[in-house]
Amino acid sequence: MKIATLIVDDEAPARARLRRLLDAEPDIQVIGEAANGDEAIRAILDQRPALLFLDVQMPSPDGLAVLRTVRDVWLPCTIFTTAFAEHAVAAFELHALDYLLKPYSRERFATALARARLHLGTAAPEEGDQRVAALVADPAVSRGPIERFLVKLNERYVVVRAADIEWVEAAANYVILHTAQGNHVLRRALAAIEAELDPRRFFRLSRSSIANLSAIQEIRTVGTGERTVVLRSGAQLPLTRGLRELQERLESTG
Amino acid sequence: MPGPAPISNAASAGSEPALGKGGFSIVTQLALLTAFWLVISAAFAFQVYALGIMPWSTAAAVSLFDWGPWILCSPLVIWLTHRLPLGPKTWRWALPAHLGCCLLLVLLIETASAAIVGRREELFPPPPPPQARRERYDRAFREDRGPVAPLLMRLLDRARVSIAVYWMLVAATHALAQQRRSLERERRAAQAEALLAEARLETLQAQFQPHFLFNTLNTIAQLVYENPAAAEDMIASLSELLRTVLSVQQRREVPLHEELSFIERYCSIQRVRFSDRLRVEYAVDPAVRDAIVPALILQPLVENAIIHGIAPASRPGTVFVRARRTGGQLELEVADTGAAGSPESAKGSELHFKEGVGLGNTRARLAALHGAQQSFALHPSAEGGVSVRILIPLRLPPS
Repeated sequence: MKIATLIVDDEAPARARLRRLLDAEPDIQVIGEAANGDEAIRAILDQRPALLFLDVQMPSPDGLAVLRTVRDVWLPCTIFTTAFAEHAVAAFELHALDYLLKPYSRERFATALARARLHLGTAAPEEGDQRVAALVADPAVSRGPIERFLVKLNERYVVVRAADIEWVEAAANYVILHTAQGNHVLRRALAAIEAELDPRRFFRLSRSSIANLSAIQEIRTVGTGERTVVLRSGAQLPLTRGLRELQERLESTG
Repeated sequence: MPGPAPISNAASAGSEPALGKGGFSIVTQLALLTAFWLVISAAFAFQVYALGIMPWSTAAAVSLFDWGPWILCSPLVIWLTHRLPLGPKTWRWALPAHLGCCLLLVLLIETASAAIVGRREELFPPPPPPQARRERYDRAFREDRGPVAPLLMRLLDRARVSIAVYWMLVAATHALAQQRRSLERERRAAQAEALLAEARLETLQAQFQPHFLFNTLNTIAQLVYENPAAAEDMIASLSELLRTVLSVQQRREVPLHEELSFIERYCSIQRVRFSDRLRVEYAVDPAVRDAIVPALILQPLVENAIIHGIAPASRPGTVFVRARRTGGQLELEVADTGAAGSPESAKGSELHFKEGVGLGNTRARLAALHGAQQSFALHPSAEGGVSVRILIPLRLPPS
């Protein structure tokens, strides 16, 4: 069986070069190309490649954000490509991942491919590449807030943008992402979601809810000092955490 | 005999503590100052001894008695001089203060020594002077002028020297402080020069993102197979760009049309990388084509427009390069059609407005070159993206 391979790069000549080199390999089948991060996320979820050539530097979402988004569903064996040795390269080396510095020689390309073959020969693709999983979990590369969440919806995966989330509700071991388009269930703890969201745009209202600051309509005081946050969508959420901090954050957010 | 060297040494050492910095520690400085006065004492003692007036030991003791107080007093004078510098603005209050201090100090020294001067003469009886001097001496000090007169005379006699020493110390301290200041100025000037050179180098590096260079080479690696003629052209274009960038250090300013042809080459490379999604439109008033502009002033703006306005968009975009005359100034504008319709646009203008290294660099260069006579403004463009507008003094070559 041939190795299903996906090429991701925002520059057409770079994709063409990889395809030319890969087409010469009898055991490789290029199943697609993606020209940006969003196309890459879609292609990875739809086509489940075993091998991924991923450009690190792309307009958002970049290569690492792509992996961060798909990590719960499918993590292919990944060979990173980059034009410049930046901080991410140190992380690749730390996690024993291969990367190609553009422009790479054919020899260097062959070495990377040989290593990938070796890895694919010993690992089951559906388990995902553990080295990539470790890289994505590495706070040194995955710092900064998450921009997209991947949620399963009737056998399909839907990308939910963090900016579209109005509020997040904790429900037992799950969280519910409330958006204008509907609600999505994600199997994760509220604290974990809170850590991944942009603290400048989201605020933890209580033990069981996080609100998008831009979705907040008003703060109401009811009865004996109890406060309720009213969202534009009409939802009313109790506020048990710092009122003053919330006020400051609402004022500072343009 | 003590030459000028010990003076400068000692005074320099003494001036250090007040400045709070310098090569020597305070202890060393005080030691040097003490050594200086000991040398002076020894010199005078030798003189007296050599003339055969006194035995060696007596000469040394007398000399030490005369100069010794300055071991204690000169650090004070040096410190005072640093506190009360006689500058063009400060002398009005510093000079009277010094006069007061001088009077006080001299009175202190002389009163103290006068109080024990009798004891000194007891201990070291002066040798019998020759007859003429003896008479003068007696007239001055021994004749009946009341009990105060000899003391006052002796005081004035010695005070002349003390006053001179006081002002010499003030002068030497000033001279050394001045020398140190000029050394410091020289050092700082050299440092500023080094910083400037460094900044120039950084500008150079920032001008060309390494990503651009290496991605371009990778593009060529593909074109070699796909389209050898295009690869050839691209190598030529890239070489031309590198040549221009490397020559910037020699040519800091170029005519606008040269800068524009550089931009054309740069864009021809970017167009291949972005698969013809990039269009560039020029609107240049022929009257300003020869205007003198800082070299590589437009390139970072165009690069910024491509990275933020064209690259994230999925549809083709246009970069507009405009140059015209506005009053007595040259207006340069780079605008783009923006990344609307792309995933990027959802994030709004916030990302788009982020000022990259290149733009910050351009802004800094303009400020350094033209100070308040330039402006650099970033605002939404009529075409849907961002527009960067620069105003600099219009300079045309003499025709």
